[in-house]
Amino acid sequence: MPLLKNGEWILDTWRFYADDQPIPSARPKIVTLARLQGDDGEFLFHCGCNLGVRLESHEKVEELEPWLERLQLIALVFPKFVDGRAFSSAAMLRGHYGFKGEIRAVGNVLVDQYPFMRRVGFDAFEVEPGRAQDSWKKARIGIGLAYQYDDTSEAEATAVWRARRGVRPALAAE
Amino acid sequence: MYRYDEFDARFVAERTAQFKDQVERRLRGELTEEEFRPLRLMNGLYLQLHAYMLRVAVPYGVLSSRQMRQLAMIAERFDKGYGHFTTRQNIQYNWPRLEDVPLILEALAEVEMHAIQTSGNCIRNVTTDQYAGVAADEIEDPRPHCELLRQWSSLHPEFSFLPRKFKIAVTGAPFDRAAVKVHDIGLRMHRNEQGLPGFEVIVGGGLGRTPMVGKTIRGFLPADELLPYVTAIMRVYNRFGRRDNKYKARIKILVHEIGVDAFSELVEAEFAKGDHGEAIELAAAEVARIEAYFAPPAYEALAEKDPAHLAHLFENKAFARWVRHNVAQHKVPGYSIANISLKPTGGIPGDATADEMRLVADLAERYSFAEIRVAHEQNLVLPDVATRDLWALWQALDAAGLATPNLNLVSDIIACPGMDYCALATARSIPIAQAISRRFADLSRQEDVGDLHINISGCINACGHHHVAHLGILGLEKKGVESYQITLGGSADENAAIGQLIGPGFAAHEIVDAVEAVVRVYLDGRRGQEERFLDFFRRVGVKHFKEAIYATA
Ligand code: SF4
Repeated sequence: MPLLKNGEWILDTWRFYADDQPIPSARPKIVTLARLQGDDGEFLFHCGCNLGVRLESHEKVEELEPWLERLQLIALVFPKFVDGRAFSSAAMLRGHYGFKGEIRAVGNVLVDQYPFMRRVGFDAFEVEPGRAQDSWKKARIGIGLAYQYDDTSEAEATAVWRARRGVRPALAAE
Repeated sequence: MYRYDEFDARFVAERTAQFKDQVERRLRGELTEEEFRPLRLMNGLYLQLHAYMLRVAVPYGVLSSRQMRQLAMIAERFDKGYGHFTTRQNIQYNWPRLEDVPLILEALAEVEMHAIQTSGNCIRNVTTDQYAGVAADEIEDPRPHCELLRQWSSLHPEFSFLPRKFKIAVTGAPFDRAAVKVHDIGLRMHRNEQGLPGFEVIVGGGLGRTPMVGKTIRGFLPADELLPYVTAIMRVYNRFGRRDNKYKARIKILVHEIGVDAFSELVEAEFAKGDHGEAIELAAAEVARIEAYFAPPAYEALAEKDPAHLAHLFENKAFARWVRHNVAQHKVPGYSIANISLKPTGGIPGDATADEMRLVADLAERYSFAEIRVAHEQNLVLPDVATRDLWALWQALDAAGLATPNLNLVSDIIACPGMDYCALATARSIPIAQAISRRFADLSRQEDVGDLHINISGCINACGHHHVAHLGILGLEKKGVESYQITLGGSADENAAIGQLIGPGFAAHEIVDAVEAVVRVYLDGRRGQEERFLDFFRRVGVKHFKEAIYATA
């Protein structure tokens, strides 16, 4: 599946393994929360390669607390684009937990949601095949300003309240 | 009033350009209606029964004369010559063409207005007391915090795909004119023992199918902690609000299902997680910056009583009646708050023609520091009129048919668009409002009846707020025929209550008689005129009305 990471199209080296799929030892893998919480959950960390988890929209980020330090990637699922729970999950992962790894949006996401996702802390997007890749790039040209103070990706939009106080350079070049 | 700086202006300009591009893609067929739908909704554009409807935000109901003139221009150029003021202090245009919408948004941006977040499952336009900043009973002007919330909620990245729409109302006065107890979040200003301002935070109020009065989760929140605290509420709602059933998705259902104590604990726990130092500092600086825009205008030092005004009151009964009903007390001596009723006898509640808008803009410029308010009762307000100018103002309004002296009387009816415009309607509401208004056209009779609020909704969604009316009317459909239910005893103020059903519905041709019968029961039974309709209802109860009305029917 095409992957947009930090604004570039790249080859996705990660693979998701559903609960009934056997896990190979040597490649970066994404597993479900249930698998992580299962009996061989700890074992997954000992096979010498990167591990990520996939969190469904009804699953709570709090559940990940025991492993956050060791997870490289968290994939947050949008079952439907109108289900906005993952926006809060991402904001909490970056804000409360200071998670530094990749936060990836998967599922039914719209190109027009992209700027919002960037601003709550998503940095990678699995795009459904068939979605025009250039419209995804274009969606980056959303709105260059944001009023919210708790934005975690200031590079995406000038934080208006800080700019007004001169804390940050004023408007980026128009 | 608030003025945009370079940031606000650029924000709206970029948003307008973005939507213009989306409309063009739609018109070229690059977007299907299904793909276009969430995009247009985020810009206030609905598809109604006959046409598109554009809902324009009037932030917390405050308009300048210049903005009002632009609204008139839009009504004339892009609509059928009128606009409709709503119970959300907004204005709706019922007949724009899709290809004109980007032009309308550009025209709005020219006067610092937009249609952002007037629809969709996001934080909607914040509403407040239409007398904010001028009310005699006010603790503090709520508008700076409304503006803070407006900015903070604009295109909020985390809270734009909520389970359902979200409405916040703020009042700075103990007498609640903003109906804060029937909003998703209601904020009531108080002062603590040290004299510092803060908010009582009320959550989970709302109307619609399941009307509920909100519950207090914080008696006093220091004003500068407002945004982190509201963020905590929004986050709890976004995570745990129901998404399986759109009729159970409002925050009131979450609060009701888990209980207000459990909800409050979740919010407090979320709030306690963060270090809000930066948020508090930034918000405090913003509020200070915004407050400068709301500094009081250059009031003259005037005597409380103006002799010429008193003489006019004495000599002209019509003027005296208008002052009695439509003029409210201002906090500054020698000034008054003048209400302009958009409920002429037999008229459509909340409708204003382009000419009327222009006249109001002119009069506001001449007599009210060029400022106008939109009230959620679908009326307009000139907030800062020198009492000595009321006479001239009244004459100008009267000449234009805008001096109906019926504020808070039977004919000051709130009505949703109903079957005449709304795709969801199960019954007509505007024609019912018109018929009731005609039946009670006699002003002396209305005066005798006194304070009696009638609200009408054209379906169970309750946009006409019938649940909180003293006399609420809900239009339903029973086997293809309109049927109107009456509820009594609702109230939207600080003693908010949900009205009680009196019994089976009435047919369209019976409903006006039924309303009259309710009024008669009250007139016959009240202990003098001092006992208002609502007091009477609370004394005798719904049963008394039920027996009297269905016995004679
Ligand atoms: S109450 Fe029903 S009919 Fe009236 S505006 Fe709302 S949805 Fe439409």
